[in-house]
Amino acid sequence: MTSSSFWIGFFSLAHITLASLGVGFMVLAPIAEGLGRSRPYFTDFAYLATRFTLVTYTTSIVLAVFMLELFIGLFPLTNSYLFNHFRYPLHLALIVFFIQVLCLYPYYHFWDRLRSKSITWHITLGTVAAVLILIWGGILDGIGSFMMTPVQGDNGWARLWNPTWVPLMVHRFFGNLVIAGYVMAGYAGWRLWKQSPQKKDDAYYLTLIKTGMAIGIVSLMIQPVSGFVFAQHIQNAQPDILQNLYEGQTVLLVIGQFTLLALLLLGSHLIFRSVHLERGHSYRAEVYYVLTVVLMVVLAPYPLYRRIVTLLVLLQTGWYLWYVFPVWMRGSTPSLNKPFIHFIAMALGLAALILYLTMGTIREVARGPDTIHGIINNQTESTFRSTTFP
Amino acid sequence: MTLEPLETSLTVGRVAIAASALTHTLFATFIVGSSLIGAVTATFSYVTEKEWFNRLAKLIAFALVLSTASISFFGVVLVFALNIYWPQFWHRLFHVMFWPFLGEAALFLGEAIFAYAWYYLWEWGRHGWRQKVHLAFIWLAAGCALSAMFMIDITASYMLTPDPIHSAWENVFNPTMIHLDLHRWFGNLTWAGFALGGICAVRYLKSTTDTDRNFFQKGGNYCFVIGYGALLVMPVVGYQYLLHLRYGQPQAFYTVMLGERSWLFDVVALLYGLLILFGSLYIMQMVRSQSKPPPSFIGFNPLSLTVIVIATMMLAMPYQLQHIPLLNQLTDQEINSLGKMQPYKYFALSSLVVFGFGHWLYSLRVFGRMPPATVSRAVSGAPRRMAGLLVTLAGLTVIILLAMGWVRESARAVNGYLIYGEMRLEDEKSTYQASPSDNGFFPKEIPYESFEQ
Repeated sequence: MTSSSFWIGFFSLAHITLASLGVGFMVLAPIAEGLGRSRPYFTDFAYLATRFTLVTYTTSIVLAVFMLELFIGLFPLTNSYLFNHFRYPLHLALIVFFIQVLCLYPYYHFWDRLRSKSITWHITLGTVAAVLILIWGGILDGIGSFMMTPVQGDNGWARLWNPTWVPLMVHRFFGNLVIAGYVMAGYAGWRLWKQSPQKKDDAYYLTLIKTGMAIGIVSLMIQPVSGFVFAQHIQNAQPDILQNLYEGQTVLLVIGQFTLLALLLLGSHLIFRSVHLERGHSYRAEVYYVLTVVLMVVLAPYPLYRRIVTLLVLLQTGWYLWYVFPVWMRGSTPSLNKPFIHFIAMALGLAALILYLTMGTIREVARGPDTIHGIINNQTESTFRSTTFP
Repeated sequence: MTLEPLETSLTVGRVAIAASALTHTLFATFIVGSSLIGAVTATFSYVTEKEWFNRLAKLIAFALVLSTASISFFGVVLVFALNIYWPQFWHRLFHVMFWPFLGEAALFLGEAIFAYAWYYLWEWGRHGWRQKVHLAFIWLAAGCALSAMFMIDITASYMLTPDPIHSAWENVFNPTMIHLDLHRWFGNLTWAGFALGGICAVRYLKSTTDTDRNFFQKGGNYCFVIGYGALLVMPVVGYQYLLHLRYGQPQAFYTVMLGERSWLFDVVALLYGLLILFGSLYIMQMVRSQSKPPPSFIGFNPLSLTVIVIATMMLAMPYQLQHIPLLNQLTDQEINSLGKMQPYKYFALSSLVVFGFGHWLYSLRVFGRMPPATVSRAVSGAPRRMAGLLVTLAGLTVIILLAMGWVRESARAVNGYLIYGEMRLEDEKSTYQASPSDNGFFPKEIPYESFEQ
């Protein structure tokens, strides 16, 4: 069963890598296009982000189908149960998905033609695509959260309203923005690192780094809060899940998650501190910040203490950004165009991606050995499979 | 573990599955055919360095990318529909065909990646060594698409002629597998050829410049020649397919040839005849649009068209009149002796293929002599008629493709089978409603049955 879980997990993570980026970029593209009315760089970014989404879209879907087929073959009971019990929401999901595809493809492939007629309508098309993909993702989140905190309900709609559905959706939404922001900055860092200095595209990629970092850090600061709410809802609904998570080897995943979070915070700080501030930087405060972040990682297995320290980290980060952001957003930042900064931006993009995948893994592992908590477990699946595959 | 009954009619499930499967099939077959045509066209472009080949290849690449995106969505719809409406059948099938299904998904992933790389790296692959790499993308995409089709054909043929019941790979050699695969090779080329021709035709009608008009006219002719050529091979492969169905599953063969659904096969025969007829009319227009048509065509064309019209009527003639819906209200006659396969329909089919082949040779000759950038002849309305014919051919191909799919499914379903001789439609009834012992009330839960060997 471990091998089965591994392969489903492998393809699931491969799918999630592309899907989370795709969703993040789909949300950001129409916003960027709107900003592009006054700053053309953002229109270019909107086009680039949509191009990325389009190019990876089918691959992402096929990876999902691959995962689903493994699920059908290796976990037939769980698969049947979920499709049977969520059949009505799934019908809606398919309709939504269909309309989403009809919006997304013209949004990219007829970019110039539609924009020449009406930019507003073109932005609306992208916005509709983004909203619909969030609805599609929301329904799938409902099924995913049900697997962790199932409820008795008369139909699929009632089962969607399980205790962790909304917290998971919110947590995922900002997670998608974290990954989209940092990957955007990482991509810009890579392009700046690759090309010789003083190319005409420098200003564009510097804008991307700044915007990506801003989106990434703000969303990242929301994540511990939304994650706390998510964890509290799990705790209230199924206390044994979190208890299991902090026992045994699974705690390593939690430590890994907070290590990555720490790396993102410290790496972001390194980039933000490259901005010149009139009042300068307080080295004492920075040492204190590093120590607090390290303490957050050390205390990762102890939720209560970790949460207190995380709160301190967030306050410090927020306090620092309060001073940096006005300069960051408005001022010229040639200091960002250094190989060191480019490298950090790339590393942060990768770290954000791994963090996202780690969080997904934790959610799946925490449920074990159940596939649907309290309803079907690995042993039941294994027994069923051994009777059908002697 | 238990499932909830769907509390709806089995027909709802059948319609949902049929609709999603047929839509999926339309795009899947187009992808296989167009990737192959795209690979050949890109190779011509690379070898001859003619710009119109490059432009046509890019048009095919765009169509391929859009259809790949569409099928990934329709694939999700089909898998969801099977999971919801026929869970017991789906899991039985999946237990046996686990590896072919995974293989198909992996190969489709390969097709998507290479097809996307082909289209989105078009400018990147314009010069130097990159040209070869770029060309390799589409051949790899075509290879993956064809291999994916092979995998899915194992399952499709298994459902009709399973042999053996519990093994996936041994079904590569089940009675109808190879013939189904071969039939689909040519069927896909026909469909993709005519569909791409139809796209060229529509673009021709919308064109505002002579350059565009000339390009789309030539592109339409090129795609037509491929589609029509493949169409002529279909009866030969189809005959072999039916022959092996007759030996492998006589009851299914009887159903579609002489039984309850024989009228559906007559519809397919009519559509095939019409495709040959409209194709021949298209070729007639192609030849006439030349400044110097071949003299032999003047004698061949009237004879050929007359034979094709008669053969089309003969081929579509029903033999078992009593199975045609509503016809029993008009006549008491049960048999139409003119609709016999031997000798009438064999003659009709042979005539269609032979005279169609004659037309095809003329089309090759005309296409080979087309100038690279012809000056448009505004005096003639022929190109517009040709565009109309191409669109008609594409439309007819959609209908015949869906009808053929329906025939194959009918061969199983009319006899009550989902997997022939192994699983019946009745076995899925518990998914929908209570057993009679429940006195008409839906039970709260239904058992999920495993597929025991």
